[in-house]
Amino acid sequence: MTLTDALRSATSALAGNAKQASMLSRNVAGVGDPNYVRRDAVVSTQLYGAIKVDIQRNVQLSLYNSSIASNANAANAITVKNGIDQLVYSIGIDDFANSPASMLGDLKEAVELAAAAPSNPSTSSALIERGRTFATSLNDLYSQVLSGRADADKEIASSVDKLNSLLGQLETINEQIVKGTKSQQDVLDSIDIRDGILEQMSHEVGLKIVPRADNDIMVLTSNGLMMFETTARDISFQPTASFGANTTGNSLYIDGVAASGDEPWLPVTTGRLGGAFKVRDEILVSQQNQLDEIARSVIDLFGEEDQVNGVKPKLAGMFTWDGGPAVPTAGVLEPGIAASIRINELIDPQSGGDSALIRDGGINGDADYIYNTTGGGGYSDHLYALASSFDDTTSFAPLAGLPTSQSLTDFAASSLDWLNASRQAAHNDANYQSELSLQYNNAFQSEMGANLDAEMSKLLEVERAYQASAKLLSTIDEMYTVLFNAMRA
Amino acid sequence: MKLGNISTFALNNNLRLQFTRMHNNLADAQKEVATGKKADIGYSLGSFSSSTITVDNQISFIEQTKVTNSFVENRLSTMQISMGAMVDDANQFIASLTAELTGSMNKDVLNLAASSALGKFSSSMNVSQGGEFLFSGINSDSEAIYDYQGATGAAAKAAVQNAFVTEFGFSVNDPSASSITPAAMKSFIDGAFSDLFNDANWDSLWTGSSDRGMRSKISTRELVENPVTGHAKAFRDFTASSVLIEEFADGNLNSTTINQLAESSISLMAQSISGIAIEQSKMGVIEQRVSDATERLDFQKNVLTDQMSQLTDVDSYEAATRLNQIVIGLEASYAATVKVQSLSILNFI
Repeated sequence: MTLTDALRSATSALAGNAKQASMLSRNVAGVGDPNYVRRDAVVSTQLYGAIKVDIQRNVQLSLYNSSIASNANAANAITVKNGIDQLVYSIGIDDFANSPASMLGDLKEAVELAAAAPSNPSTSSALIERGRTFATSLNDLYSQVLSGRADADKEIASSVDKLNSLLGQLETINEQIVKGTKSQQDVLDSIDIRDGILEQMSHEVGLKIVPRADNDIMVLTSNGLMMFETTARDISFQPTASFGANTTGNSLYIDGVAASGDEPWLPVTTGRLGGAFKVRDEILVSQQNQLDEIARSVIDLFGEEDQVNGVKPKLAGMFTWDGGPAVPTAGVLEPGIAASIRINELIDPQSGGDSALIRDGGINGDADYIYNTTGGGGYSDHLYALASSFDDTTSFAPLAGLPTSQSLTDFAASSLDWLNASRQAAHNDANYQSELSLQYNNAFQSEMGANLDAEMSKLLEVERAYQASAKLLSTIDEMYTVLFNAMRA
Repeated sequence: MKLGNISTFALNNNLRLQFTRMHNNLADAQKEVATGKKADIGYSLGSFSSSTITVDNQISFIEQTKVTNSFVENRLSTMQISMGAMVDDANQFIASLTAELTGSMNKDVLNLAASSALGKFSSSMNVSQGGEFLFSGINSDSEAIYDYQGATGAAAKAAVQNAFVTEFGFSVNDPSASSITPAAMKSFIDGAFSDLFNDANWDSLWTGSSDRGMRSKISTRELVENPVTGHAKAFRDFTASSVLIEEFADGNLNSTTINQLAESSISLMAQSISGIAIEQSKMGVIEQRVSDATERLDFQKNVLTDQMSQLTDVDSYEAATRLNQIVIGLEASYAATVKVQSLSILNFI
C-alpha cells in the first residue's frame, strides 16, 4: 500500500464524514416534524480503500399504509360523531328536555289536566300553550336538522376544495421528484413534502398509494377511483346553499365518475368526505323523516272524526299544517310537515279562536264533528280519549327507519333511542378509530422519526472520525514533506 | 437484539396525548362527583335513553294526578257534606209536619217549613266549586236545581199549578177546593203530580243537571264517574215533598185532605232520606277508590324515583375514588414529564 492510497482513503473518509455530518444535521433539524423520516447512512468500502456513504430514507411501507388508512377511518368516525352530537345538543344533552319524546309527554300531561278540570278555561289555554311549545320546538328541531344537512354539504365542499388544492401541490412536487430521480439528484426532502401532502389528503378520503418507478406514485381513493396519475384528476362537487324538506343534495364526481348519490358506481365512504355524506344523506335524513312522522301522527291523533254518520273525512283538530284542515294520510311520509305543524287558529285565543272547542270538538265549524253533544262544561270524555290515544298503536312510514306499528309515545321514544344509540356507536367508533390512528401514527413517527440523543451521539462519533481522518491527512502531509525535503537535500 | 427506534417527537407527543386523555377523564369525573349524575347520560344509556323520559313522564303524571285527585276528593266531600245537610233539613221538615199533624195543623207553620226546606235544598244542591255546580254532572255550568220560589223555577211552578187545575177543574185557592176528598187528593199526588217528576219533566222543568256524572282519571288506567247527579230519585222526592206543602197547604183544602197532603209529603220525604243515604254510600265507594288510588300513586312514585336514579345516578364513592386516582395519575405524569424532558445529551456534551 502506498502513501497515495493512504491519502485517497483519508480524503474519501473525510468526504464521507462530511456527508454523514450533513445528514445528521438534517435529522436533527427534522426532530420536531411529525412527517420527517429519518435518513440512515450506509457506509461501504470501495476498491482501493475508498469509502462510500449512501444516504437512505427507509420507509416501512406496512406501517405507512396502516397509518394513512387509520387517518381516514378516524376522520370519518369523528365527522359522523360531530354531526350527531350537534343534533343531540339541540335536544338537550342531559335530560333530552327538547326532544319530541319529552315534549310529547308534557303535551299528554296537559291534555290530562284539561280533562281533569274540563270547565276550567285556564287548563284548556294551558293545553294550547303547551301545544304551541310542542309545535314550535318541532319546527325548530326540523330546521336544525335541515341546517345540519346544509353544514354537512358545506363540509363536503370544503373537503373537496382541500383535496383539489392538495392534488395540485402533489402534481408539482411529484414532477420534481420524478425528474430529480431520473437525473440522480437528492430528492429525499421533496419526498418528505409529498408524504406530508398525502398525509393531509388521507384525512379527507381513504387513499390507495401505488408506487412506481423513479419514485413516481399513483393515488387512488381506497375504493379505486383515480385521483392522481402524473396529473391531478378533477374532483367536482356542486354545493347546495340551503336545504328544504325535499332537497337531496348533489353528488360528488371524481375523475368524472359519480362517487355518491343514489346509484354511484363506487361510493366514497371513507375519510371526512365519506363521513359528511353519511351525515347529510343517511343520519340526518332518517331524523328528518322521524320528525315528519311525529308531526304527521300528532296532527292525525288530534284530528276529529264525523260523530254523526262517520262518513265525512277526518279533519285537523288542535294541530294543523299547510295542507289543513285535511288530515295527512296515515302511515305515509309527508315531507316538511314538521316544519309546517302549528296550533289550529280556530282554537287559538291569540288568533281569535275558541279554546273550549278542544273539549267539545267541532273545531272546523261542522256540527257533525261535535263530540260533546249536550254542551255540558264538565264533559271530559273527548279529552281523556285524546290522552289515551297517545298510547294506541298506529302506523308509521317505513322510511323513518323505525318499527312501523307502535304508539306515538313509543315512536318518539324509539326515535330518541335511535339517536342516542347512533351517538353512542359514533362516539365509541370515533374513540376507537382515533386511538388506533394515534397508535399507528405514533408507531410510525416513533420508528421513522429522528431521536435527538441518538443523532447527537452519532455526531460525536462522526466528529471523532473526522478528527482522525484530518489527523491522518496532516500526518501524511508531514510524511510527504519529510519525503520531499529528503529528495531536495 | 434489535432495539426499536423512538423518535424525540414521538416521545414528547406521547406525553402530551396522555395529558389530553387524562384531562378529559378528569372533567367527566369532576362533573359526576359534583352532580351525582352520569356525565353523559345519552352516551351511557344509548338505546335505553328514552327510559329516562318514560320514567320522568310517569313521575310527573303521578304528581299531576295526585293534584287532580285532590280536586276530585274535594268535590266528593263537599257533595257529601251537602247531602248530610239535606238529610238534616229533611228530618227537620218531617218533624215540623208530624208536630202539626198531631196538633193544630197551622197552615202558616206548614208553609214556613216547606219554603225553608225548599230554600235550603236549593242552596245545598247548587253548591259550586271553582264555578262548577257539583250536582250538575257534566252540565257543570248550569244549576242543579232551579229556584222554585224564583224566576228560574217559574216554569215548574206553573206546571204544578196547571196539573192541579187540569185534575180538579179549579185552582187550590178556589172555594170549591174544599170539596176535594183525601182519596182524590191521593190519586192526584200519585198520578198527575208524580208525573211532573218523571225523567223528561224533571230534566225540562226542574234541573239543569245531566244524568251523566263528571268523569275523572284517578290513576294511570282508572276512570271514575261521579255517581251522584241532580237526576237522582232522592232529590226528586225531596222536591216533590216540599213543593206539595208549599203549593197546596195554603189553599182552601179541607182539614182531612190537608192531613192526607201532609202524610203523602212525609212519606215522600222519608223516601228521599233513604234515597240520599244510598247516594251517600255510592259516593263513599268512589271516595274510597280515589284515596286508594292516591295511595297507590305514592307507592308507584317511590318505585319510579328509584328506577330513575338507577338510570342516571352514579355511585358517588366510585366517582370520588376515580377522581382521586386520575389526580394521582396526573401528578405522577407531570413529575415523569419533567424528568424525561430534562434528560438531554446536550447537557453533557
